[in-house]
Amino acid sequence: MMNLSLMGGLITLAFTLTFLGIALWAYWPKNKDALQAHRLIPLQDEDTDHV
Amino acid sequence: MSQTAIAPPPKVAPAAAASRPVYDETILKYFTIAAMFWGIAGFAVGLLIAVQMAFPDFNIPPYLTFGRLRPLHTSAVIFAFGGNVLFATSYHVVQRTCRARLFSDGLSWFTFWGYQTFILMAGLGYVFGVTQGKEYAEPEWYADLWLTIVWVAYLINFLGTLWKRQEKHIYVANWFYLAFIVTVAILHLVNNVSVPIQIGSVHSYSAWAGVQSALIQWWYGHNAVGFFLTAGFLGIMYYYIPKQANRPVYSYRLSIIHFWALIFIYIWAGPHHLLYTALPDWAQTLGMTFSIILWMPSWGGMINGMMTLSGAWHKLRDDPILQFMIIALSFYGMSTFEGPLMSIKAVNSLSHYTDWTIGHVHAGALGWVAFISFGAIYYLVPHLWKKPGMYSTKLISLHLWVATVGIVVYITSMWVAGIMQGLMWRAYNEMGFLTYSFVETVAAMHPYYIIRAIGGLLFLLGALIMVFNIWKTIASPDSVASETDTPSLTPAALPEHV
Ligand code: HEM
Ligand code: HEM
Repeated sequence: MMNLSLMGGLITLAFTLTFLGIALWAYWPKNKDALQAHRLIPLQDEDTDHV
Repeated sequence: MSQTAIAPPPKVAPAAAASRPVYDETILKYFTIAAMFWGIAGFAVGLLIAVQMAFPDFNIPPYLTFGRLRPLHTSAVIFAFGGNVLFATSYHVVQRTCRARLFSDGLSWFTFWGYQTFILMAGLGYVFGVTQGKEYAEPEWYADLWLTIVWVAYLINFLGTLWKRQEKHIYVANWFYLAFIVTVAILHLVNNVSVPIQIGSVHSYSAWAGVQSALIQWWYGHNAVGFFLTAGFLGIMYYYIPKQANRPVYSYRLSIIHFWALIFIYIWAGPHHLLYTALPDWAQTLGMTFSIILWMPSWGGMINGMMTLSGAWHKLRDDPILQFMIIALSFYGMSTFEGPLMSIKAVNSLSHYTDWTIGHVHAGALGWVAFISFGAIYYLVPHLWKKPGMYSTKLISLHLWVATVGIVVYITSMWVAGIMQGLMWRAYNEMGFLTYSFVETVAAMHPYYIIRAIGGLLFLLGALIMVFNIWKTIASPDSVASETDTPSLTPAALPEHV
């Protein structure tokens, strides 16, 4: 039987691990260039016609 | 034009190669004008209630009393002004960064008129005494249901645009907007579960009661701050500061951490509004802990925004639009430092119920929310109406300084008033009797309330200068062609690219 505090603990753990995973992925040296390239998206905009 | 502009790699021009999107800009104009309209209305009501606190004679019963006008003020500035700014900028950013027209013109117009209708339904309700009595969730059940429909249309329109995108990656500003839309939907649905007291009645009973009701209300209230007043406006930061400075954001990797940290942490901080109440102690401590942790991602985001200018600080010197944005970030930094401080139980025991909270609120609201919005609107207006720039750069500067002085006057008067108030309430003599009667503390506030009203007046004047400037800009005949090679006349207003 699952009790509430165990479930709370497991959810906290899962959230923490997910977040750490994201942080690790974001700062993994190999991913740097690919990720940093997205910075340019707003600046590569064509000023096209509008309605 | 600007020598320091970082040249984007010329090989990528994804949209140009495929079919060129035709952006919907008419809808953006409507939302921008609506934002300015409600902004002025909301600031004016703010000024009126500030004057009422200093001079109670300005209460005009039954409709125009402080009790009815206060929610009118908060809803007008947060939902009507802030909401329309968020609609305008999110619809702009999602189109531009996805290189796709908004998903559906019909939905766009439905969200525009539907949202303005909601504002009127809510606001008229308050004046006539129809309210749920929950702060920031005052609208009654019928307005709540209507907003739900409008909001779902907004979500579909936003998601649909993301779906249609021609750019492979979804730019970070859109994540913040999406988080704002989704979270506000959930908060709204949960906090407003209620049944009308009888068929046909505008009043209702809430499904929640007691301490559960309080916790749900402040889970709602705090995340309204976190996702309405913060996440959406961070979306603005991640698009408009790079555009105005014509430089990419400092670190994309930091923006990823920033986003996920806010998402994971904000939700748990609500109990800091309920310290020393019937809420279980562990929940209070949890709220306090998460609030303190929240300081880090907040500052990480602020630094990311500011450092966008690193190596090009000279741009700040003569571009008042950029100055608006950077001052906004400073106030964001200030209020997200003050917030964690006020979450510490010992500090909160002094600050709670006092004007210190009001000072904190307006540091965030005027300094951060309104200033970053003003910056975005100053960018948008010439861009949308195809003008070389705003009518007058001097008037932007004037607005900036009048409003900044107004904010400083507002928040410093509230700090002094709040701390004094807190100390007077808790003072007692050697016999254990309270030193001051309540009315003495009220009288002591009087000069500060007058000073605060003056600060508010300055802020309102600044906004009126802005309206004049926008008016002249739109009315000016010299429009520029909307072609790619348009030279930008304002400093870095339109980026050059290949
Ligand atoms: C001219 C500008 C403004 C003035 C003079 C003003 C004035 C006031 C006053 C007098 C109150 C009531 C304080 C009390 O009950 O003791 C208030 C509350 C509030 N205002 Fe403003 N305000 C202004 C602009 C804004 C803006 C732009 C925002 C948000 C974007 C905002 C958000 C709020 C909020 C959230 C509250 C409720 C605070 C709480 O319950 O703790 N205000 N304002
Ligand atoms: C790390 C970020 C922040 C934390 C930890 C925080 C914390 C707090 C705390 C402890 C209170 C006082 C609660 C009480 O004693 O009743 C408060 C009130 C408030 N804060 Fe913040 N704050 C933060 C950022 C912001 C920002 C950026 C804004 C605005 C844009 C803001 C808007 C408000 C509002 C509107 C209230 C008044 C709520 C009410 O009682 O009606 N906060 N905040």
